[in-house]
Amino acid sequence: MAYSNKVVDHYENPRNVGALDKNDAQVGTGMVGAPACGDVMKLQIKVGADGIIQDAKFKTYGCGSAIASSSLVTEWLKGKSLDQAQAIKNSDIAEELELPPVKIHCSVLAEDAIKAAVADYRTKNSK
Amino acid sequence: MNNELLKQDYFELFGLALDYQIDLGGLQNKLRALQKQYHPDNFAAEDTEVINQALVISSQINQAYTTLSEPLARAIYLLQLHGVIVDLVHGTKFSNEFLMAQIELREQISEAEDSGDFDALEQIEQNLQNESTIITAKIGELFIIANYAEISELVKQLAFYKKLEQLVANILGSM
Repeated sequence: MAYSNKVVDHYENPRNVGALDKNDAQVGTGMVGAPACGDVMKLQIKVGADGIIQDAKFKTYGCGSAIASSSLVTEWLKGKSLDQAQAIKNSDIAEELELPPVKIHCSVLAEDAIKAAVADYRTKNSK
Repeated sequence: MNNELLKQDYFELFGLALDYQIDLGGLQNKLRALQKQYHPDNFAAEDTEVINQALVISSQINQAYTTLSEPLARAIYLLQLHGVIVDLVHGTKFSNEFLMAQIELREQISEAEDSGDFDALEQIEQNLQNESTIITAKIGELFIIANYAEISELVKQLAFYKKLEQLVANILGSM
């Protein structure tokens, strides 16, 4: 199966690989896994006092499409509000990366990782 | 030729009760007996239709064996017979503990791969197989009490371990 150029670009030059301090109150961490392919994704966001995402980092163990999906969303997340972040749909990711149908679950994983990271941030800051 | 065979589920086909725990040796013996009985060569003198039927039944027998002999496929299939479909695509939520363990395993594997540490990879492979055995045993216990929700969760976890086993086997194979 051939990957699209966009997937190859993100796979070879992944953006924002790394970790943020998960104990920082400003940081939300989302971890998800895809049993279909055994992929694991950790996505972290750092949210400013204005409620805007300042930084995003990821660490993904999996195929090229999973790495590309998480790399792409870290780029998209910066500068977005939490509501805007949660509005990102897996179909947006799949469309941008031209993922074939058998790789759609990679984009599902990235969408779920965003939701998990936002939920973690909101839980931490609800007090 | 027995057309009814094609309507049977895989357990019936192999003369087994609907139990998760199966005797793999017995399964293999039954496979050989069925393969012999329905081998297309046995029907060489018959009409094309009969030969084609034998081909379909043979492939059904092989498919059944593959599914029943493999713990993950067998669990998914048996759940299906009980009306439970495991969604391996959209079920992405797991405990942080489980996912952290997966990430650690991935890191161990890539470290061992990068340093070409054959022994470490074999040790990891052994650990993964042990983990799969433990999960498979739990799944067997849960089928007895028909706790399908819990089984579905364990099936998803087992899928991760099976993928990692495959990954390690591929690395070892290419070293």
